[in-house]
Amino acid sequence: MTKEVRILDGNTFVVSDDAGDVTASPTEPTGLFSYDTRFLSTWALTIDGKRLTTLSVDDLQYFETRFFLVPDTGSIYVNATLSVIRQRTVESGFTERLTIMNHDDKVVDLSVRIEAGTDFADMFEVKDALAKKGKTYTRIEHGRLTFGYERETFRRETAISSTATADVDEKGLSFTVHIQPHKEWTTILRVEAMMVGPDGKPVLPRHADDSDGPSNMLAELDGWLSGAPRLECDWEPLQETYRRSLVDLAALRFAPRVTGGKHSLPAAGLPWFMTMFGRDSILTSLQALPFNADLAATTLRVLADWQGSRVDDFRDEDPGRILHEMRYGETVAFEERPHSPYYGNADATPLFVVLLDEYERWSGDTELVRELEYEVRAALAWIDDYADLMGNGYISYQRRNEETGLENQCWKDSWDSIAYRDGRLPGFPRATCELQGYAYDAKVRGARLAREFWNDPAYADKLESQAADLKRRFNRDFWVRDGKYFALALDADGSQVDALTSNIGHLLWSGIVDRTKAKAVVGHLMGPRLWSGWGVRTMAEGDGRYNPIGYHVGTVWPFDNSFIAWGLRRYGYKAEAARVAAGILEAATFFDGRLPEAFGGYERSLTKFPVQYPTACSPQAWSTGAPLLFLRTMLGLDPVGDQLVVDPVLPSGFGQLELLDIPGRWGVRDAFGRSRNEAPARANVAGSANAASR
Amino acid sequence: MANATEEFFDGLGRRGHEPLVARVHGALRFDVTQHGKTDVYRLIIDGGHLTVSRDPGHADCVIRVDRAVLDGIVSGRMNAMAALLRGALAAEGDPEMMVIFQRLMSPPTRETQRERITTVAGW
Repeated sequence: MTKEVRILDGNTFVVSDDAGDVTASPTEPTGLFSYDTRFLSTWALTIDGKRLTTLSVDDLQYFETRFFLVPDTGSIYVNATLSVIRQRTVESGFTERLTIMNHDDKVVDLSVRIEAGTDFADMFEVKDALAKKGKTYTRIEHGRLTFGYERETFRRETAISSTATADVDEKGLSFTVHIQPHKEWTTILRVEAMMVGPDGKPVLPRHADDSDGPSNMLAELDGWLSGAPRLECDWEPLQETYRRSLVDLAALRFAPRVTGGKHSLPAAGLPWFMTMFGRDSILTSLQALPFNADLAATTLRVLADWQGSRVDDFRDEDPGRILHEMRYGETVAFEERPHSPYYGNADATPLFVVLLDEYERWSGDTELVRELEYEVRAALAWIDDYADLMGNGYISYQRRNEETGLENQCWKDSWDSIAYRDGRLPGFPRATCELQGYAYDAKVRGARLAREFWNDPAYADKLESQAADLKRRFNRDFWVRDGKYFALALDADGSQVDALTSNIGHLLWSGIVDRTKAKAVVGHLMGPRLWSGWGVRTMAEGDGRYNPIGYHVGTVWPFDNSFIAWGLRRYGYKAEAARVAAGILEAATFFDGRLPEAFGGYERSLTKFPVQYPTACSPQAWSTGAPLLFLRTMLGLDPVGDQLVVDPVLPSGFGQLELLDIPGRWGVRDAFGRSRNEAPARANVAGSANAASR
Repeated sequence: MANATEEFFDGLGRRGHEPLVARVHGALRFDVTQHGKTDVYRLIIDGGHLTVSRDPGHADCVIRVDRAVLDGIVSGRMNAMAALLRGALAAEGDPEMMVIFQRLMSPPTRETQRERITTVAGW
């Protein structure tokens, strides 16, 4: 199989083979996608009827790629006398500059053809291979080829045009090309992806400052990169990973048209999740706070705009609930799928409160805290009024949309992720442990906002006493006595779902763990059942469902580990946090600095390299954000009042690490750290035991 | 004859202050067509205070829609975002206003999931 090449801009992306061609089958996620619809499923270049051979592919920018090709001469002894360059830029569709160079002393006459076609598949249809319900049409006018799809008022069109004169038929464009010796021929092909509304106008209004072509995109990317802190590090791979993270995060930013396209927030990842996602956008914004706080501000504003306001079983919506996922395709347009938006998650709502508080601590933006008071109160009320399905004082979830809603409404959302130690699956509702941690943190942080900004000390007192009560009950009800860890969940009977999982690391991050229990939890996280050598596994080796390549039951997730490391740090386990950071950042070097969504949970000594999970999304926003959060954790960055505290503990072998011009309420500040190269890793662990007891 | 849209805008006008839109300042206009005739409803939101008028004045966001579709949306049978995506309504101007407007479409309910889980059979 040839390598896939992906370029993207916000919600539009192209996935092709390494010659730049697309020949997609109905179930293959390749082609030109925009707003969850496939606008091209065939795009294949031939010269004199033959496909071309790839010499090289240059990823110029995240939105731009150049393919160098030659005709296949059939023999390595015959040099090609033609070179072909396809330079493709994504912007509300794509533009492809096709150049053919004649290196020969003779004139050449060529028949050049671009074969084109599309199925207008909805992303959900590509996933599930559903049949289309509307009609397609093809139009040829003024040298322009238009494919269309219509179902009642729903219309999508792909328009293909060329600067050079083409012979257009219903299946593509043909060019008769005549090139003088040592000269070249060029045409610019333009493919437009259009969501056509009433009167032929675009469905989503465009803003003047929205996506203005490659030169502006390049200037914008430069601005984004130069606004981020500068990293200097003796361990060079970290520099590459850092730059890769910043660029990928820029690519994954997504200006939702429905909120005007003026601001951007992180979308979730390619190829399935290039869309607005509550949980992913919040966690990625948290990871990126020390580097760019604007993402958090936009995420908060947009999620507040869409906050649930009524009970809608189809969308699993409640008043105060933060959305799970927004989609733009045909199945959503006809309400066959609930993602307009869908609200079925149990964690984004408390995490929304956590993000606003953490954002204020970094940015000092009190205006936004005041602006969103109503929404934050509604989110906190949701925890008590709508999320406590079992009436036991814990957040639990059970979908009301039984057909197309999500079963598991936590980040481990695959069908078998929530299991007992012996492998059995519990019924519903399910109260997973990390949700209680998030709720605790949301109440503690909400109390601070109420006291400092909303002038409501009574509400703050109430939230704090609820939080204290939740923490006390949680440490009693979720604690697995014979294993000394927290259960993954409580089932519908209130019994413990007792698998040992990475979720216990999130509990440290939220601060819900009693200090007396932290040492045992850390022991598990860094112990042989959870620790693979690269990172903390989602589920412990030895549990019934454990599978080193099971999506949420044994793989290692970089994002998960970044929050676990933050949690270790919160409880004073600085060296352990550094070890987790080192493991994942070392793994990143095997992926050219671009961490996949997940990789195999195989023991590090067994495979020597991290094994990528077969269908993992890449790039993916919260994996892209993980190195950023690891940097924060290793340097011990934390806002205290108007100051930035720096308290570095680095993994051995990192040498000197400098992060310069960290933006925040203090203006900009530099942070420095140096690893204790002279001391082996074990000595570091011993050192942190002291820190833990402070 | 009164219809869902008419009743809805009457109700909004009577609602006065609505905390759900307390941070919004702006105007939203609906050009509602039926049998070739267009009715105008203009909703002005001023820090949560709602006023409805029938004059075609300035609006930050203009929504053009068939009465049948808007009847479905305001009564909660149809979703506004889905209608936008399938071209059943058109929005011009600041679409954030439309997003916020969706909050007004049915009053907040006090019913909790727990109550429903115990009352709805077959769960």
